[in-house]
Amino acid sequence: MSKKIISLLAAFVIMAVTLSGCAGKDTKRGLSSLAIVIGLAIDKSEGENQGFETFGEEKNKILMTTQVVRNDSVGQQESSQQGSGSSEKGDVGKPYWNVEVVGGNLLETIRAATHITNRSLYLAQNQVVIISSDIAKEGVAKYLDFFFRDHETRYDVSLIISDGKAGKVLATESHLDTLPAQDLYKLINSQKRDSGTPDCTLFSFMRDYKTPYKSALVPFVRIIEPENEERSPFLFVAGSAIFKEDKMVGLLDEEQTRGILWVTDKVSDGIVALDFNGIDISLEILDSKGKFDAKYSDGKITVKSKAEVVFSLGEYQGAGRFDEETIEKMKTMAEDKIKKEIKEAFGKVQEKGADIFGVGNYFYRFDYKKWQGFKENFEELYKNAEIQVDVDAEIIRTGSLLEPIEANNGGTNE
Amino acid sequence: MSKRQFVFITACFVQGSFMYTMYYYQVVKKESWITLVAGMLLGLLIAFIYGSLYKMHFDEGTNTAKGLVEINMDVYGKSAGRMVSLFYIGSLFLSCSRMLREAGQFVAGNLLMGMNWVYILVILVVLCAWTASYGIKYFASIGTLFCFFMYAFTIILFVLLIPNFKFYHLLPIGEETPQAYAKGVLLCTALPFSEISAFLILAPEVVGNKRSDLKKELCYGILAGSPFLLISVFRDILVLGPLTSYFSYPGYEVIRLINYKVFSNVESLYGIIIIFLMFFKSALLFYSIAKALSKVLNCKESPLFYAAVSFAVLFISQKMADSNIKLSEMVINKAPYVLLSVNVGIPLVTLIFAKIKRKSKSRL
Repeated sequence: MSKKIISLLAAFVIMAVTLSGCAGKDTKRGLSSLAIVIGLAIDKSEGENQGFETFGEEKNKILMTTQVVRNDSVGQQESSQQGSGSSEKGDVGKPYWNVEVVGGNLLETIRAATHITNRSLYLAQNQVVIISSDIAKEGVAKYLDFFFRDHETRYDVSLIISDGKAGKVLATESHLDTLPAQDLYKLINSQKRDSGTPDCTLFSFMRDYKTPYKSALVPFVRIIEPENEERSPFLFVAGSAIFKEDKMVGLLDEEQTRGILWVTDKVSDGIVALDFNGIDISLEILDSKGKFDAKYSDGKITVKSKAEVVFSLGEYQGAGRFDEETIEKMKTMAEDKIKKEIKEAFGKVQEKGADIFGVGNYFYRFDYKKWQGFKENFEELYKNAEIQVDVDAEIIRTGSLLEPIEANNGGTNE
Repeated sequence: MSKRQFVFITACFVQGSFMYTMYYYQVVKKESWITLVAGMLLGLLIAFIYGSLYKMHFDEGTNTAKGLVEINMDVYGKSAGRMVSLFYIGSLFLSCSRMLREAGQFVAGNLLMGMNWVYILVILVVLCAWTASYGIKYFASIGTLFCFFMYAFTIILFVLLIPNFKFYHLLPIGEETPQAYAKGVLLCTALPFSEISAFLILAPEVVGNKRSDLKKELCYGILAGSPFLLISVFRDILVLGPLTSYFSYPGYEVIRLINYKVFSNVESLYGIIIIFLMFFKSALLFYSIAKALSKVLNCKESPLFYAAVSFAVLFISQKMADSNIKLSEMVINKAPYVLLSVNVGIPLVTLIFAKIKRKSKSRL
């Protein structure tokens, strides 16, 4: 019995020493030895080397910006006045440091950061990956290889395309959060409230990229510089970048993006604003379902899309009685607007040759035999495809009011 | 071990082969579930062959069971029987070494990145030897509980991944070439179902009434363990879709996508459970190898003997392939033919020989 206990104890000690990851001093991973990255931006290098002259081929250099959290300064920054953290000497004193490194590829660039940081970059807590539109137009897949190959990086990280320099997005101070990357991450997540921007993670992008005959839609971020110089710039997330394969081929505005999201069943919230006979009204989306199917006959593809939307009247800037006829008219107008959004969106992506809906994927999956007959000509057929839209809207509530607040013609309110 | 424990050990053995799914995806991609079902059915046939061999050589009079080595010696004669047994032992050595190598590489690549994978391999081999030296009772005592625990855990993770499912990833069916399907079926049959030859070595340790016939128990074990592989394959295909063939460990990568309330970053826990599953199978294989080798060499299972087997497993694990790409190629292109020839071809020939021998004896 004692032999067994001794053997067991010896086994536990051996396992505890060798399998706990502390086999060597270089493998220790305490918090103070890590530079926790919460945002990563990739730009094309434009000649700035930042001291990294020997890294990467001259023509293919990238500028990687990683937002590293200063562990000790975050708490201090929140207790002191917000916005007062910017030091006269650049970003020293801020709760984060945007580490800029130039290199040939991502892994080399990340490792090269050790030449300027006193700790290794830790990517497991990264929340956003921002890629500049310049790089997006040339192709992003080769940059995403690192994120899927490395054991530390996570795939549910938000992917976003920036208008202009991606690194500048991480340098745009947040009005509500201490860390710009965190602000951007929350901003992207809050877009579900308006459905004007798609939800895209590294994983969903890669899955769409590798799904036969399907293109991806990626959120788009801009930096807005207010005309009033006293106001700080801020981030504006709306619309989306159209991808064909891994290259960005165009942009959709908010309404066009929502046109896509109606059909792909990704609209969960938002407002449909209408001009109802000169009266501005807002219909709040309570629920939405969308689907499509496609048919191929006589050398033509027809896409039949359907959206079912449930609204609540959110605002009515006018006077008048509400009756069933009024509601019916509003409903019809909403349906027409949604149809217009869907048709416009489809037309735009069709023009770019990007199959965002996944029409080709639909045929590939559900009508494989027929698909074999025309898959070679699909690109041409897709550009001439026709879309039929059927929208079924319901306005089930008028909010807390039965009648509009505005009085009739300034007369007495009775 | 009792017959019931034998069933659950077989089920755990099949569950422990869950890492093989990464090879299935390389060959048949999204239709791996079809070849897995086919492999499972063929696995039942293989179980039938082994069960028949075992029953044929069970002495009802003295209630004595014979293991694989004794059966071979009975059928082919002492020397030839030992030679034939060495083929089985060789294939079990390859299976055990490959399993431990994959466990070591998995730990070093995903869980303990700072560790040299050889240290992990050494620890696993030592633990295998130590577990095996205590006999079958430890496997038997935890097999039942572990089998149910693995199902419960896998089903919970399956449910958590439902929001990520895209059912169209299973379509279209029939896209691959007939050669790919044939290769896939061979692969799914060879890994893991042909490896149950190890149980013909362990079968004599079953105690209790009516232990002469273990066909049903082997089949029940396969049927109890296979749904685990099917659930894993469906989960991977429904979530990863076209990405299943891109990842080294798709079953592990898919768990990294779970992010629901408190359930996030569960892949570390899942990784530990996978290692335990792989260790269970490796230890069982190690035990079978030690038992069979001791009978072939006619020596006692002493600590020195276990040390020698451990060194052999360590050596083969390290030398079998230079990289994971080479190992993958070896497993997909060579291993099924070797395993099926040894673990299915030879028992079939043995069964035929045994029947012929019995018929000629009865005539005399």
